[in-house]
Amino acid sequence: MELLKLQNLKMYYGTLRGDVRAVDDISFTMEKKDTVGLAGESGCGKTSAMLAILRLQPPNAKVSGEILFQGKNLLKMSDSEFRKNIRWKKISTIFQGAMNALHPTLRVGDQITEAILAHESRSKQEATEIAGKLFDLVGIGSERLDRYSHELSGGMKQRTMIAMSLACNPELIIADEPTTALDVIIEAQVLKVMKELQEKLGLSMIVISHDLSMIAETCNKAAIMYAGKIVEFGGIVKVFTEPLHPYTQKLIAAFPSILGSMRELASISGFPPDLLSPPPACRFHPRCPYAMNICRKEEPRYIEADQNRYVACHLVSR
Amino acid sequence: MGFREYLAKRIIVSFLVIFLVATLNFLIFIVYPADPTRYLLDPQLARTPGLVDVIRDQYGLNEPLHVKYVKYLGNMFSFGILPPHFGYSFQTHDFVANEMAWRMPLTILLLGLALVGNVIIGIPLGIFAASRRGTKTDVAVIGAGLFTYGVPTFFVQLLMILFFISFVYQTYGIKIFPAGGWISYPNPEGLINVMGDILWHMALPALTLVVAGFAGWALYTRNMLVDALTQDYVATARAKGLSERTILFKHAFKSIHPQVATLLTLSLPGLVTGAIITETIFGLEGVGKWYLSSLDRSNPDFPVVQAVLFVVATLVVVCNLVADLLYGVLDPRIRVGQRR
Amino acid sequence: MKLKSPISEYRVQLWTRRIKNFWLDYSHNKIGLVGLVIIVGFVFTAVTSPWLAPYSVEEVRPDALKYNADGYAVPAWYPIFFPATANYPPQHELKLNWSMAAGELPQSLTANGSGRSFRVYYDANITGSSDPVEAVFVSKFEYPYKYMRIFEMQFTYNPRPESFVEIRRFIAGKWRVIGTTGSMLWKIEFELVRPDNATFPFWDNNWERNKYVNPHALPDFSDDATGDTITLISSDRTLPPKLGYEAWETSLMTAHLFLKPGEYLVRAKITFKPPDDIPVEEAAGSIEISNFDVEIRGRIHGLLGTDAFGHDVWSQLLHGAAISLLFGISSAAIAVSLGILVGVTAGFVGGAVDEVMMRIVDILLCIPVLPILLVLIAVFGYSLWYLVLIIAIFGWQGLSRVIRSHVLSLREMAFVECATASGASKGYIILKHIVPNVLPTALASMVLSVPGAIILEAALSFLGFGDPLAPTWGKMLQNAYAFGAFSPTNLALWDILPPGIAIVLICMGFVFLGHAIDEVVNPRLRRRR
Ligand SMILES: Nc1ncnc2c1ncn2[C@@H]1O[C@H](COP(=O)(O)OP(=O)(O)OP(=O)(O)O)[C@@H](O)[C@H]1O
Ligand SMILES: [Mg+2]
Repeated sequence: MELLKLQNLKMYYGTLRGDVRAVDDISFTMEKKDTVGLAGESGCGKTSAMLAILRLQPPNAKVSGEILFQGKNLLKMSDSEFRKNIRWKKISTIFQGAMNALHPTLRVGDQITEAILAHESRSKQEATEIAGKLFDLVGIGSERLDRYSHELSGGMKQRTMIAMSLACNPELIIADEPTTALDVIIEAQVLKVMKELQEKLGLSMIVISHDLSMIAETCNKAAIMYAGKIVEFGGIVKVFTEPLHPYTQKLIAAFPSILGSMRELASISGFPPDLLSPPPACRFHPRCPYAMNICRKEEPRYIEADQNRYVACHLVSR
Repeated sequence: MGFREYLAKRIIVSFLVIFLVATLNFLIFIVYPADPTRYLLDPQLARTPGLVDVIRDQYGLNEPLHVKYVKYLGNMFSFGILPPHFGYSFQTHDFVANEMAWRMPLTILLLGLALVGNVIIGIPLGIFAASRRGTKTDVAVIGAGLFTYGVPTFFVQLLMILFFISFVYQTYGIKIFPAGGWISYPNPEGLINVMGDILWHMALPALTLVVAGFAGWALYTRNMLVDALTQDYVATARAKGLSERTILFKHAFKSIHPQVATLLTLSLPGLVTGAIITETIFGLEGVGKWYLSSLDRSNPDFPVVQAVLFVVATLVVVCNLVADLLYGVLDPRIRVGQRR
Repeated sequence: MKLKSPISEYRVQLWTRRIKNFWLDYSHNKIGLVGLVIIVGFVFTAVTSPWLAPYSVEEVRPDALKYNADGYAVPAWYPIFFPATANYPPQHELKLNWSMAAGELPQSLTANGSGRSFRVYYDANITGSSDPVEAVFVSKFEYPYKYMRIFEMQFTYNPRPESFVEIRRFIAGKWRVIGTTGSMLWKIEFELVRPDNATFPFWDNNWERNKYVNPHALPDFSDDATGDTITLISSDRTLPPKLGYEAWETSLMTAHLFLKPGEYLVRAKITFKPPDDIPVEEAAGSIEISNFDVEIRGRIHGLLGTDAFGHDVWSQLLHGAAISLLFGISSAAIAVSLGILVGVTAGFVGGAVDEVMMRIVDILLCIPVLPILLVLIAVFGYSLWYLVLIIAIFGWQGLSRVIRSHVLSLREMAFVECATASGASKGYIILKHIVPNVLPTALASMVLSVPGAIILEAALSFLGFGDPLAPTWGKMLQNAYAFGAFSPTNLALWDILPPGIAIVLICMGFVFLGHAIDEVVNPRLRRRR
């Protein structure tokens, strides 16, 4: 059975100038032990999608569609049921920018134990032991449990977040740009930790990132987002080696590959659209080199092009 | 830098500031057109040759400036040996400190009551509003807070006087609050009765200060809390599935503790201002009313003014010191020179 | 022909777009619109107050001598809510017209004139009698009100003897003329007769005779008898004893005098008799009474009644608007300029300058302003513009901090770094890049610091440390508080509430305006909603 299935998920932010269509009708499915990479330009709605799944959207946001988690629709659940049974226990997160995601005046250890105590009937001591083990697991060392977040380095904070996300043995972890703010060395460390944990614990994850190489390294499926829509979804190898959507092609071409052959970096001309009033029909058409008449008139459907390969482009659906 | 050195440095700086304030306080009265002989003596006596000089001598007004300054500093600090006596009041011909000694408790009582009232009403109200962001309650608290910002305290006090004294008491004869002053005449018997009577006289002034101020406190608390609630770490706490209560108190409110502490100390200047006006309006013989009447143009008593300014400055500096230390205790990020 | 440079054209476009966007956001802000309406209303009032106000600033200042009505006269609409005030007299003046009382005049008297003045002629030669003779004139007037508290009467009398007798004195061995004296003795008595015929003799002189004495410059003196103008004020303590009241019972006396509506009568009795040092036949002369006016102090007056000094409250309220606005805005503007100056300097120069400035700001921020202001005012004097200045000097600290941190973040931004890299001077960068970007914040802060200044000024005025001649709202409240508006007999709500409400309203206007601008220019704050 699928672990998570998004169906026609939409999230609009209501503003004075109109709705910002940050997530506009996206669908994908992931199985247990899948690691899905969600990639796209800045501002295309990745974080918004994640917030919608966690029901953490700000008050001005409107969410519709279906989020089926282990067959249950998360959007239909009552607040308290969702809070008690899903949050952190089933789905936990690693937030973008760990420096702000940790409480400044609470000890990091307490922040982890508090999550455990909230969901599992354990004594304070047991919770502290678990937290210590998690700290050892992510390579910080349990002696740092009583530090404050400002006393930790950026990498340690990120690893603290990872440890925290593991606190209640969740079924799914959503990591929003877990390595963006880190330098290359630390990033490598954090990635290593993540990969190890994945192997050790058999985690299911959604990894959000701009960094295609990181997605290539950690994920087995990839979803490419453009202007609030998923334009391509499929197995990581297929998507990266035979991209179907022009945007995916461009994105991959624009990315330097250290091990790959030296080639000229391509750039995508034009700017990402304003989600207040995105281009009609296919949102990519103003920047697409293959744009046809139909692209300006009709929105491409999101179809299964191949087994487990989804794409939304007139080039393919024709 | 260890905590001790930090503390020592802060104390030295505070002392310097107090010293500086004392000096400014001295300098400003060089230009002040105050001469006690003008009203100490009745005009007949003032014509007696030599008498004016005798009096000026008594008050040390004939000394050269530097001698005056040294004496003044002696009065203010007493070189740390005696309790300071602040010089002689022109009006009572007594040490200023003696009069301050019985006026100060009154003012502290008034301001203490007002502060406690504001804090125990304002802060919970602010928390309540923040927890109901966007609801009618919240809007009401914001409105009341903004309103407080635009309403002069003394107007609120005048309205309360109009209602409780002019209407309820003097027109309809129901004496909920006394009409003014700080103690009934004749004075009640026994310590307990006296205390009760003073408290009863303080009730309306303190109440007016609370009415005029609590919404401001609520709005401050609410805004700080809402800022805290929109921080990423609150999103983390929410994602962790903690209850809204825990998020509000343990996460959001705890993170604004340092700011609340600062707010408390920064409210001190406002309180001093409030004391002057409130005591004047309600006829409470506290330090504020004393200060104002000492500034009277035709009858100035500048040793009193200097003493009050000095004490207020000292108080403010000490409070800031305490606030800084408190901030350090409450916010681990600021804790200076300490490895936990 | 000068071509417009594309850059400046772009700038214009940029600014129009900015302003348009600003207005778009602003016009969605309900609180902001309310504030704008309030402020526009006050500005309108301030500008038109010289025409809207029934009395000029000078006429309603506490030092103005003329009364607009009695002290604490109730507003004209008061009777609707308090029927007891329905019969209060408005401020008005009765100009008495005289006519001769019924009956024959004694033979030795003739009279002429009626209306505003009359003259009675005396000639003892006609009868040759030395008995006193009297003429009575009366003046009737309708008085339909009740509860008068103060009236003021004024009249002129003008005695003119027919001839003068020299007064001689034996000085230095010689009889010398030292003066003259008139050829008649006279007496004037006034009485007020109530509708129920109760009579109150409120003024008389004893027998009098014109006398001009000039012992030095002989014999040069005028023989022209100028009369005298008498003013009687009922609140004066001289009148009640004359009518059998205690000296302080002025109001009681007035209330008795004008007890009820009806037809009142003033009776003037003029009596002559010959002096005993001249032959009876030579006794002659005349007396004129003229311009008898009774001013009734109104106890009901205008839109908002009067204050303790009997001055129109509505006018004072209107005049206060201009002062408050001018005061608040100018001190806020000065404070904000200082704040920008310090903030930009500290933020842009940085280093030791920054450190020192911010320390000073820290210290100033926790100083209690009012006690210091009181001392400064006591030492350097009271004047509105001086107050503006010192309030401004204590009002810039908070803003300078905000501006400084803003400048610090701007300094890191690409466009500033570009400008620096392309060799722009510091002054240019500050003027072209930094200042325009901090202006919106500064504007919001300025608007938000207006109420503080207005309230501080009101508080100072209330404590008696304001400009004594400026008709500010704080001053009005002080006068109301100090001069008995709160006493149960007056309960002058019209003198207490309007100035207070005006202060609250104008401050609310600025708070709302500033709050809205703040939310528009700092979108981060919108999250607070
Ligand atoms: N509270 C909000 N109100 C209105 N618009 C918002 C809000 N939050 C985000 N947006 C808009 O929604 C769009 C998507 O934002 P989102 O944060 O999901 O992007 P992202 O893909 O996570 O970008 P990044 O890679 O930079 O993190 C952006 O255009 C953003 O401006
Ligand atoms: Mg994001």
